[in-house]
Amino acid sequence: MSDPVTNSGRLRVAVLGLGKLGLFHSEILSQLPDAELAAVVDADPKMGARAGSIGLSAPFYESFEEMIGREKIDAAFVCTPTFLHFPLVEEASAHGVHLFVEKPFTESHGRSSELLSVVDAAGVRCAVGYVLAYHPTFRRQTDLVREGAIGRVAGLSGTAFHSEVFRPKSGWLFSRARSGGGAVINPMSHLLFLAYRAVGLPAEVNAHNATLYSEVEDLSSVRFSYATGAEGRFVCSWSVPRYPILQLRLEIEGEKGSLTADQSGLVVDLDEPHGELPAGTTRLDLSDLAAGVPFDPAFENNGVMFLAQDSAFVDGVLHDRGLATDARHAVASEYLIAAIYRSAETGGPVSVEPSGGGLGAAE
Amino acid sequence: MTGSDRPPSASVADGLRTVLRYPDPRRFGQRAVEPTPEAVANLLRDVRPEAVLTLDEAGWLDTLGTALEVSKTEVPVWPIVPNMTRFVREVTDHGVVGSQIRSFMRLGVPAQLALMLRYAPKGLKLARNDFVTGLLMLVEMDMAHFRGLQVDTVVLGSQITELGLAFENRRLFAEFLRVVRRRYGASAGLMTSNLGLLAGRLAEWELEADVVVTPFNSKGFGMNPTQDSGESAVRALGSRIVALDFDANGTIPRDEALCYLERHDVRTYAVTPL
Repeated sequence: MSDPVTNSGRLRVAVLGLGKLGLFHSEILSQLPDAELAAVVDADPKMGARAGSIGLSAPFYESFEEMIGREKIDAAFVCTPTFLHFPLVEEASAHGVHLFVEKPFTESHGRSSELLSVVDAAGVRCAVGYVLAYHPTFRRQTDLVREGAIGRVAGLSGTAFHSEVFRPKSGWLFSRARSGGGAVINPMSHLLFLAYRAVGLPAEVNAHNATLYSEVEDLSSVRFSYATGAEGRFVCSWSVPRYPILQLRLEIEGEKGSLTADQSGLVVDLDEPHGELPAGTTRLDLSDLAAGVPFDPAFENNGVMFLAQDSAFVDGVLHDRGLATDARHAVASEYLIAAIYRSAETGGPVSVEPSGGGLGAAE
Repeated sequence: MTGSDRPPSASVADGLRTVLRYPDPRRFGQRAVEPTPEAVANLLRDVRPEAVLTLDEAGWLDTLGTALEVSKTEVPVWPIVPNMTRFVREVTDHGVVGSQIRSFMRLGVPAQLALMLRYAPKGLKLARNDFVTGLLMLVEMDMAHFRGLQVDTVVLGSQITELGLAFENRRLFAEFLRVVRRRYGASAGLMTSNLGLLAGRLAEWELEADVVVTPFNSKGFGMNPTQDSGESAVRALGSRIVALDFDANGTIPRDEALCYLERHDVRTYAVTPL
């Protein structure tokens, strides 16, 4: 994008929804040199006073419509509950506003595909908040796979654990119609996005989900078969103790080595040297991979990946650069989520279109 | 013992003090030290910390209290408040007001009465609409769980510190420092990984923290925006610095890590069991 509305070279951004993530993105955007937090929007009028008392000085509005009538903005961060994403993205796109949307894009792959068409037709940039793609350890893992450091991928295995649900819960997050599902579309979706970015779509999905407490699934065990012969196994639960913060682990085995990443580091095991990495086992600690940042909003909670994500979005829109979590990639990985739900419902394997429902491969 | 819980060699560690940081949210799900009273008592004996820097997290304070008794160790506890991870979890379930009510209901009757006298009836409404008042109420509710433990320093958790810095909320810091010193008679600490920014803001606002807990190591890990800015901030701040990540998860040789602290006149570092 060459002509931000202010012509100041900074991207004027509005944050839609002032829940925990909206506030968090507001905090980050207020510190990015290339962004200007131009407005905040929340349907709850009390949030205006609360936001002001936090020190958020951007003008407050109760609706997108009201805000867009008064403010000139380049982009919006959609941080509302999932079921509100579609109408907001549709409305903002019609005004030519570039969009960052918290994950998942919508409650279902069908609606996500439809929304992608809307965004494409409007000609606006759109990224989805699969933020682990910006975590230093997982980002390096993906890069190494794509550079061919471990050769052809033979297998993947991953886990996503979080201590969040231990009794029946209410609220939109636990309503299938409003959130799209449970542990699969929420914590596991990060793992699926990383797997998709590393090796693309599988040919077949076989999934078993279990619902323990509410109407959405609390744990899932998934098996992928790839056309190349590679296999993938993934387990996720948000009902396991000891994980107050979501913990992901992804191991990728190749013909020439393996890469095992979690939020604390990346273990690289190579048969042959690759770039600066020697043959044999090397552990790259997070402290080896994370450089200083202008501002870290939460250093004990993976704050650097959120900063990197928001910074990449701003930079991508301003300078027309590619986005690792572009909506097209997001919708393709959500195609996998749909396949998992279909398989779990039917109790058997389901085939996956190589094109991801016409969306293309990982790159 | 692994990583940073190994005691330093005497020659380098002379004059340096340790604070036990446990639990560390970054280690959730991967800890080798089982959170049993016996294991924690052993840890206290091995590390001989000057204080325990900790969160009020899922039964942990009961374990710590028992461990202190068992080990016959008189170590002050430095609460990190509020526990935002828990609060955010509860907000997801119950909304802001609902989670405040749940926190309130977890308190004992004396603490409930004290809070009601201080905040009700006008204050409760204020706490819902005014972030700083709501935050202080959360801090007080967390602090009630530390009753019975020897508390001489209270540290504002990093998520809130960073939020206050980002939005230049001087009142948040001024009120926190005042409440901790006056109401609890304790030293007031701030935890941050944006040390350069914190030093600048505190100087501008004419505020001073007694303690600043922050990543500080020869790799520059967690020192934002740059290692140089962190080193300058340590020189500029009048506060006592407690170095987190002093050996960057064990990737810096221990003696080298401690020499770096000494060179910058940082006298206290946090030991974090894996």
